[in-house]
Amino acid sequence: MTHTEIQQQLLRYLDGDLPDETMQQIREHLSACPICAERHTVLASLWLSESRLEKRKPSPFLWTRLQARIKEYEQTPAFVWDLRRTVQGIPLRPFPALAVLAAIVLGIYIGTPRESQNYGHRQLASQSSAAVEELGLDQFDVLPPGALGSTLVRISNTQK
Amino acid sequence: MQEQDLIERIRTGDPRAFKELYESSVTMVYNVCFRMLGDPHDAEDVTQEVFFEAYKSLKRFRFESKLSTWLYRIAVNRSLNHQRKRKLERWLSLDFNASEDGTDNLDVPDASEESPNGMMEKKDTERIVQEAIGKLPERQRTALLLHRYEDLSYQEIAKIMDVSVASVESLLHRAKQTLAKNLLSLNKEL
Repeated sequence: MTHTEIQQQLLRYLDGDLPDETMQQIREHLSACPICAERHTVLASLWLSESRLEKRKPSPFLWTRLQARIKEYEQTPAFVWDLRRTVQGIPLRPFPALAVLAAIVLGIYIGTPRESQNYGHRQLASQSSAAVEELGLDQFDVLPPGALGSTLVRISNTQK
Repeated sequence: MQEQDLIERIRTGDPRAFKELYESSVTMVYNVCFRMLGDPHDAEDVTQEVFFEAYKSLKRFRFESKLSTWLYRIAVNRSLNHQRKRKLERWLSLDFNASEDGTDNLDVPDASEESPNGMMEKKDTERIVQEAIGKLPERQRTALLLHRYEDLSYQEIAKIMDVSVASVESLLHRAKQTLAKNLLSLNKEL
């Protein structure tokens, strides 16, 4: 057996839960291998010293609480009791996770560019070009800034 | 025969009979729940659930197994459900720091005759073993707890877990292999 296999069997060895032949093999290995022997000592100190059969007692008020619950059950109609149990079974603390999910969904919605917004800009630009041609404003290269005509020429030039 | 009489008396509505059942089994049920959950308050809540369930379901008990086996089965299933519910609640509330094996609330039995150093060592040992067991997969942990802390035979564990005896053997062997690794690793961290 390898060192790893020996170490994996140590708890069963401590419990005497192995065939005699395997117990003997492990015993011989432990007497010759200081590393496995050290691990055996550590496991023995943890596994064997734990007070496994010591029994804890519940609170003496548990019986009182149980009696109260049984009394309530006896006095409540069955369908009301079942409905209450169903509602109580729903986890009531999902809000942080739901808030994160809502923030992610909202972020995706806001960040996604809208097709209708692009269409509006293109429509405005094509209308401005048409207005420049109709009014003959393209012959005016230099116009005072802020004039309506200068704005229409600028848009028209951008489209070209 | 005694068990049958007790159950018949409970079915006929004798309140003292149910109390007798409670008093004879509550320590056993509480300890199974405590070992599975690692928290005394959770263990009390689930123990109450177990006896409440027993009260409602005793009419349907068919004597196909011992009463204690039946109670163990309810205790194990309720404890596992409670653990899964807690895990889901922790995940939904984004609380990833809470201990899953309940070692934060580990309560060592009072041993007033022990020295303070002895008490500390005992507490460390308990905590390490409990933490290592808490890391095992669910079925391996259940089989190990029933075998080690309730001293149940492979046959009884097989009835409680509704598996074959060979499966129980296999679960226990794998549990001890994994546990040895976990114990050595946790001991190194100290």
